[in-house]
Amino acid sequence: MSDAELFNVLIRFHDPLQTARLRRALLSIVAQDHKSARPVILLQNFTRIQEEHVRGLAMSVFRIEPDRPKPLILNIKGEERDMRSRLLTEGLSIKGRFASFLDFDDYYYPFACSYFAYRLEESGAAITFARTVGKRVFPTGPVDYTLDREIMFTSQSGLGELFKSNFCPINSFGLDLQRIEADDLYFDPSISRCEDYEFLLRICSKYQSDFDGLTRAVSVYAQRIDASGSTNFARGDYNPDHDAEWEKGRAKIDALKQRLKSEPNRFTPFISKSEREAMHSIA
Amino acid sequence: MIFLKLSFQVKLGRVHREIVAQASSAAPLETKRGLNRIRLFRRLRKSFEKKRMRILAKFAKKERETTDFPEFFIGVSKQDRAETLLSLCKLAKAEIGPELPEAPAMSATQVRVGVVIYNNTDEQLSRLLRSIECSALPEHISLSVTFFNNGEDRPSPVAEKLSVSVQKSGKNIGFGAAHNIMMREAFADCDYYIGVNPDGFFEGEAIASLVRMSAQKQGRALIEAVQFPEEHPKVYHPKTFETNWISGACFIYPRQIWEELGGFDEHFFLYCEDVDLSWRARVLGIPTLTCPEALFYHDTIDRQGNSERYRQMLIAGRYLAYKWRSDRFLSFTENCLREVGGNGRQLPQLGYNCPRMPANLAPVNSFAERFHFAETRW
Repeated sequence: MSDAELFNVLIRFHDPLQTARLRRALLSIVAQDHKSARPVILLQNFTRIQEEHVRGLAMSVFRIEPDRPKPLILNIKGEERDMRSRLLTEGLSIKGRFASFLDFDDYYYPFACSYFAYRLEESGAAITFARTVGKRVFPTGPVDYTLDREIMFTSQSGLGELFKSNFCPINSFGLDLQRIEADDLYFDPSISRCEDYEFLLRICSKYQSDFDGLTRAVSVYAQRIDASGSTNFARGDYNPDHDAEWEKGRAKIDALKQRLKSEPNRFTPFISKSEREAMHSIA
Repeated sequence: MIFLKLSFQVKLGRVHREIVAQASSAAPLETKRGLNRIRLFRRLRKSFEKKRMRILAKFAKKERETTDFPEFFIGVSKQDRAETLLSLCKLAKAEIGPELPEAPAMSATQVRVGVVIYNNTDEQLSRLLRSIECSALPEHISLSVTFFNNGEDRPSPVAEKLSVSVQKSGKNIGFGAAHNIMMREAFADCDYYIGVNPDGFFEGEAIASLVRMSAQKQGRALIEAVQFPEEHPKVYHPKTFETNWISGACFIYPRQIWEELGGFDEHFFLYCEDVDLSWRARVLGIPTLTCPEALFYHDTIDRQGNSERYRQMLIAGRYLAYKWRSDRFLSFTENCLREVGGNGRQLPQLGYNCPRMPANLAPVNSFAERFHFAETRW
């Protein structure tokens, strides 16, 4: 199988103690119907031993499907405290036909990649969206105890809604890399919050998007109720600086939205005339 | 919270000193010394998690009553919360731990994996077998695999290639009956029997986790793996792991229980035999448990809408209701069967040869949630 046919599932992994959750995510990829699905694990400043540990884990999960593409591990070094944008951008630069994102503590249903690929080919879009099941869990050791589940954001759909707010978790969309210019395949490195929304707004403003796939849930988003999965607590050190990072991300989104209101793009039909005129008068 | 923090800090201090002493001579994870580091890490994390869970459980009830996220932290200051999580993080980073004495050798354990197959594809079977082959098992566990073919009599290249013994009945004798034959044979020399569906596969540590938990219970518990990616919604206790019944998709059955309880009731052809077995076990005081660390990949997401499957389930549910004396559920299943069965289609007979359980076993059986047979989480 050539690299050009691969479906890269990009998993950002930054915390070596969470290997049980990563293992679960990998299990969901090895079980994909799509035979070209390959996990690309993006590590942030791991030591050599830690990197080898992750590699061993990934290879052991994929030993049960020896004919599948082997997992790819990239250990990216840098000074920044939170390198999420850089990691995801590096992941997008890897050769492949399709790409999607999966948080290490979440997982896919077995048809996720084939569904994304099918929707992208069927619609001719550059990006396709599906639903995500939210599971509220609390961690009980290396595993989670699921309290309840429901499909998330069911009342929202379409470009207009996406412009208002982000109802598309990072696990819920797939990209056709052939239909997006390489220059657009990046996450804004200046922000470490709302970077996925910024990416979605930018891509959807320029390229055709497909929301018809929202009839189906393809992934599970684990919401840890002790907040250990949230960015403010992710490394256990609550820090008001995180709030500042959120503010920075939101400001970036606001600025991008203002720009999108003032120039023609794929969101334009969904933005009210009065809003557009207001933007023109400011300009 | 204060106690938690203090005791935790003491432990952290010790761990920290040990880490510093060992850090400079870190052994690769693959070596025995490396494995000991992992064991220490796991043990400490487990110990911390127990304490952490007590706190969480305290708040879980309150949390369930509200959807407003910050409410969960009632009574816990942000600072406390942050410090607790920070401590956990530090503990977990004790990846480079000290040398530990070897764990005492456990006695040799024979485990038989039994699979009832029914016209499954070679792809499914080879994936399952590879997952068994790739399972991370302690040295004292030795594993063998048996298939029981309830389907068409055709060669199975996978089974032949991997020298898996295949038994045949010539006809479909049902799920429970096939497992009973395999269990009877297995318990001649095995300590545990793991029953597993052919259309799933084991996560790498699932088998070891099932055996470990069963050994911890001195072989007196029926234990199921958690199905993944969609687990059964029935409630299990997050601390004791008790649940109302265990699924037949992936379960471990110790010899002791076979001798005490026997196997599945063969009046069930397909479905509900696992519920019946679990309830019979609980009548004898044998707990039925979920092992959350054992993941069994079993895709059940697109199963709804299969009318024959539904009909089989209703037939099994009807017998379960008859056996466990639930008149309401009996009439519910019969009404449903009439609806799906069409005109003139007779229901299977229930008669003198079908055993029945005594009345008043309500704490054990549960028909209130219909085919979930237990309180559900969602």
